[in-house]
Amino acid sequence: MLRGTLALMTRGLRFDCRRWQMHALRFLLVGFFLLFLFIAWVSSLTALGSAPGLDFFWSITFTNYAFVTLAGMSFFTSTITEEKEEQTLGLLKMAGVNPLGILLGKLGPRLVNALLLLAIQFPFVQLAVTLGGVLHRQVQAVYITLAGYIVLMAGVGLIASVIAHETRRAALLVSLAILVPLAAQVFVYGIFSSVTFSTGVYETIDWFSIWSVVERLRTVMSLGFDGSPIGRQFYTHMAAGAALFAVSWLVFERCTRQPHSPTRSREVSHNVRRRIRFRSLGTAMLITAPVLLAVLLAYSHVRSAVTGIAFQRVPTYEVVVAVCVTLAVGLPIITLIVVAVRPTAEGGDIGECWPNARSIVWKDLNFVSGGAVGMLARFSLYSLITGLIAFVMGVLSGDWDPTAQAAWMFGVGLVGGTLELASHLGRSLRSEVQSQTLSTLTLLPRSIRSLLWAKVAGGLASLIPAGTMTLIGGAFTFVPLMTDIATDGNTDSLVGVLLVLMTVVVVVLEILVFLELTAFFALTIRWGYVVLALICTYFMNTTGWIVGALLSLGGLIGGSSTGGGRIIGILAVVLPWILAIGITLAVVVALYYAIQSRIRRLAGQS
Amino acid sequence: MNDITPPVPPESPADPGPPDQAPDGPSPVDSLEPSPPAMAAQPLLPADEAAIDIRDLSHRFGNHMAVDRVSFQVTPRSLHGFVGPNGAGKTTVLKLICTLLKPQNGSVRVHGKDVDRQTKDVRRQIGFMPDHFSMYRQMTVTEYLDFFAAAYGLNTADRHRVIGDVLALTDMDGRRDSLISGLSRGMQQRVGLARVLVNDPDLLLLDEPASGLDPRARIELMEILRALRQMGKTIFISSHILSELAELCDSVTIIDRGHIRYSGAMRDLLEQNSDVNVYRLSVSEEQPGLEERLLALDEVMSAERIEESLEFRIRCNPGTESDNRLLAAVLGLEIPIESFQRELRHLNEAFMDLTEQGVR
Repeated sequence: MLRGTLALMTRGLRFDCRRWQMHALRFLLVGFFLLFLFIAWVSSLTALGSAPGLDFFWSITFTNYAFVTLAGMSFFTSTITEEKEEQTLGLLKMAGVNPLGILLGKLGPRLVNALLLLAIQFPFVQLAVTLGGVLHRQVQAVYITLAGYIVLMAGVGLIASVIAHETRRAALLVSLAILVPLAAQVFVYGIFSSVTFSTGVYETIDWFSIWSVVERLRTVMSLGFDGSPIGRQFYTHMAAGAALFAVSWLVFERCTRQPHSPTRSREVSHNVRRRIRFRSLGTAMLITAPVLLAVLLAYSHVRSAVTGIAFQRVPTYEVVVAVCVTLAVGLPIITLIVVAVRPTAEGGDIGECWPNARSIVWKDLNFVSGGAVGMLARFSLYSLITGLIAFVMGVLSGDWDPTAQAAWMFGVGLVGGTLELASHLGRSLRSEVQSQTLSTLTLLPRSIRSLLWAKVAGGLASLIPAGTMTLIGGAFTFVPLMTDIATDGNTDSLVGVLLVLMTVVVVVLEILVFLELTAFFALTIRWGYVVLALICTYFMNTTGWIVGALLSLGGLIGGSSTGGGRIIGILAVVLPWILAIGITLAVVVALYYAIQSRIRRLAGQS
Repeated sequence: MNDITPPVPPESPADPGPPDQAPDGPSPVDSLEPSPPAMAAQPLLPADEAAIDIRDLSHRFGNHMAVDRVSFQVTPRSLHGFVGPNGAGKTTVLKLICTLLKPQNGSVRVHGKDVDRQTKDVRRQIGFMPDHFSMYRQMTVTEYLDFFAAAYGLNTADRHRVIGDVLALTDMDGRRDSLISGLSRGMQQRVGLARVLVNDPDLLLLDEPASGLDPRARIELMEILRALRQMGKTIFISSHILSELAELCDSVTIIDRGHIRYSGAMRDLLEQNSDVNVYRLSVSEEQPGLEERLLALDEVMSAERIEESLEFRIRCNPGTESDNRLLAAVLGLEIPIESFQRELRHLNEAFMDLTEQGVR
């Protein structure tokens, strides 16, 4: 067993050494550190920060936390699935390597790599102690906390990789395992800030915080920390990591006995897709809309009749919850009724596909985004999220505000929609590379640019649920805000409007950069393209904000020293934004051409 | 390009042409090893009369010269074989023809249209089947074909008709609702061929279509190709299965290490033999002393019985050109002749003669 395990570990370490992505990731991390060090240095010079060492260490700590979390979603999730996808797991078993050997041999190099990445930082972060504001004990405690968290993430990634047939599904499992408790925690702390709970709730939160690395890091970084460097979090994470490894070992044989044959699941999804078409969904929506209106009016009238409160134009949170739940539950039911009533179309699948360039939109919408069923599921999901926000704000915190509700809807819709579109674009391009269909697709009589836009259109079409939520939320959030600013009339307000508009432009451009990076990485690496694009965009965004802030500061100081006054002050604020827009636009254009060039090259190679 | 171009001299490393025609320089391989002589090429047609017209085509990947000043033509409505050892440059030439790669030097024209400048027009006229299964496996056969037919802009009525036709031609009508991932390799290959046909292209470019297929599937595929040729399609087929190509193709191009070794009619290639003409004589009953009687003829250089059978292999003296003259002499022997035919070389032999040994 030992020989097989060692052979696998050696191969894994060698393979990682040869992969440019690993080196790029390390350089990116170093880039982050240099940036944070620069900020700390500037802070110490301008006396803006009271403890530059603490600022520096906070930045490094939370960057590490983000990296480990993202590694759990991508780096560890391919541990076993990569062998499954390459159909080499059976060969490893035939070579006499037992399940424990395979798990150790495959997970070992990744764990070593991740821990080494953490360990090599340790001497450098001692600078934080020199800069002031952090103690050696805090540095040790943070790195021990993160080491425990890495082991936990490795365990979570490993079991997902053993259970799932593909890295994509494993990454989805890990994302759910991380995001669901994290979202729950955010909600709990959100409520905690405005409501007084019973002791039981506090105890539950305390117990929950044992699992929360964020909570442990907050404790460690608090002023005057004098606890043990090794906290309960480390022990629980180590134990959980070991337990997950043991469970992976136990279920390994069961989960990997049969080679994955996707045909059966594809048959099921084909049959569902054949029955539930966009036509049925459209009909169901036409039927649901009056039902929703009826629910809304009936509820309002019944409420006013029971409580005696007059009918209000601004809906209450109960109405929002009722409408959202009706939509989330009613739409699937009505769709199923429409499907049952509507006769099956004659002539099979021929004629279903939309003609010309729209054929690619049809293909991606149906086979990447899940077609009408996926759209239905997303409508229900976004409705439930909207209802949940209203419920939490109205019932749990007792502080429901339509504008706050709209802002939440806008935020969730925008983030969810952007991630959805990135995931759609990435999967759409990656699947073309994996199934070697780029050559046949690019041989269609249209340009690569047109193909690319068709793929974007496919993704945008799948965003109808998220887009609806964003538009409603945005309308109720920004229209009153902009109207107030615009009607105010003074120069400061106009500069404010300009800044808001430029912020919107920069955010839109940054979203474009994120989407393009996802598309480019999907054509370059096999998994983790969304995560890598997210990291790169975050890095670009952080750098941009810092450089912009420094330029503004420099301009303001220079303006005041030369007596330039108000105009220079406005220019100092506005010019960095214009610069940011220019640079981001240049990146957007460069990436646009890089993606096309990459597609052309891959099509020629396949 | 309607002008009549002069015949291109035969390509050979021994006759590489003027140095100024070799912008990328000679292949390092060619400078190390002597190459077998190339066989005489036929005069070229005007570019717009040929289905494929390739002139002085070169393509390099980094330091590796994949295709070096290649010129040949494929006549319309013919079935043209394209053979060569692994790494000879077959797939590169195919990708250059089908617009997946841009020619670095030279020109490629499909029915008179330049692949570099009239890419979209060329793409409408060709159907390319790569050497791998390039398929959306989560689709059914009809969904897959419907997608490509729609992408080519066919309306719904035309799609019904065309998809029905191509499914019938490829004998996949019974599996039209099957998922592609559930089909056998041979059936997937047929679906690939059906996909190539949905836009009714004039020229089919098939890269190793029979690779990995069982004998039955190969035979069936060859039948489909014959049917397509009868329908007036030009088929350019790259393959390693030489025996089937010899039966199937009207013309052939042999490429080796980026150079064309032969391009022309298949029969010309198989009949060419540098030293002697070989005939096969078959008699209906045992003829004692027939070998000696054949040897006594002036035209015959050697005669031998083939493995205890009633067949004899006759080699003619050099200079004996006419089949009729030998036949007359054999008839003069007054023996019961069952058959008398010129024995052709196997394509394998021609291939081995024209290409260099060794694994690339």
